[in-house]
Amino acid sequence: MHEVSIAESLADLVRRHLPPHQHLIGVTVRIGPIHGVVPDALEMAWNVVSEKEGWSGSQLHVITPPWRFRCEACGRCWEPTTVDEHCTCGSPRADIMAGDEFVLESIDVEPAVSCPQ
Amino acid sequence: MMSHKVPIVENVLKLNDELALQNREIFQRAGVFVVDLIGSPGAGKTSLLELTLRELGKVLKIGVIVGDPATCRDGDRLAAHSLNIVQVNTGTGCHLDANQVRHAMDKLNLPDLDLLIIENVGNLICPVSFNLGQDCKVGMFSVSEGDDKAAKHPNLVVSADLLLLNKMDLLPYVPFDLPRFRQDIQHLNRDAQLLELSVLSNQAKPWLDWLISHSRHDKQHSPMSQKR
Repeated sequence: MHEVSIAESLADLVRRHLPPHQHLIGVTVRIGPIHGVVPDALEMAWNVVSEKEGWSGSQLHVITPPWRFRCEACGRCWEPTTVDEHCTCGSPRADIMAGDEFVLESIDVEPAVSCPQ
Repeated sequence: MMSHKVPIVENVLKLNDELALQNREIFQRAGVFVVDLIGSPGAGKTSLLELTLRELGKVLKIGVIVGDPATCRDGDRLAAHSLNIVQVNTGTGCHLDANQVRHAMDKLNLPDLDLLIIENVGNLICPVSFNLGQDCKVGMFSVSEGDDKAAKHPNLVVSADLLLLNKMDLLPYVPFDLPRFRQDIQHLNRDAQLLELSVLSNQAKPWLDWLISHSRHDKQHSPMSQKR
């Protein structure tokens, strides 16, 4: 369940970037499959963590980019179905070009409603 | 009401990374070489550390931070070999983070140590993402777990500076395709060094040699590990 830790780390980072007098309505993260994060579990963890922060109802959008490898032998780039897929040239060695992202991309905010005195 | 997007593009674990960098600076000032040891429960991490303390205790001054969800059993086992042991209980936490390590390392006299090994919580996924400020990340597998564990846990293989395969003495008794395991590692991390050990049979010399050479080099200076 490192999704809870990740959601807490995410909240710390969001708090740092949330402009004053703005209400958080959405958070977008890009997390490659190498990290083993389950998007549903992270969204559930976010619901709990964001409520504690006073951001109830804010939506977490998890973008999961596909793996992308480059063959060390022939230079071919491809998106493997599974991480142990080898290049069609037969070489067992490849560089990971994408799939290891772990980034808070953006937050969506709107002006906070102030209560009339 | 008008909403707008604020672009950020920062690592999700940036705050942990910042703390890890501070840990790293403290380790460097103390001149201690730091290893983050990651492996599944039962891979033999604590047995490896018992052997390490037993065999190298007179050559290197070694400290251990050991993380477990509950109990002090591993800490007690290791304390039989060294006074420089700190047990961390993580409760429901499935990994150590840089802040937990900061609190634990404050209980050790770091300048007195040559080597600090952080035995992470037994888990092949979660600990990998959390930088602790270590010099090297070491991934440990064992023959009895099956030959597919490297392929199934690519993040550990990709980010490890060194990989260990333990319980080689069980190879005749369990199904384990060693060439396939080696090939999976090569596929993901062609630079990874793989050491094959049998800790309970006292066959761990390559690991001990690796620790001695790195601890002595790193007593002088070591760059921050370039890996995640």
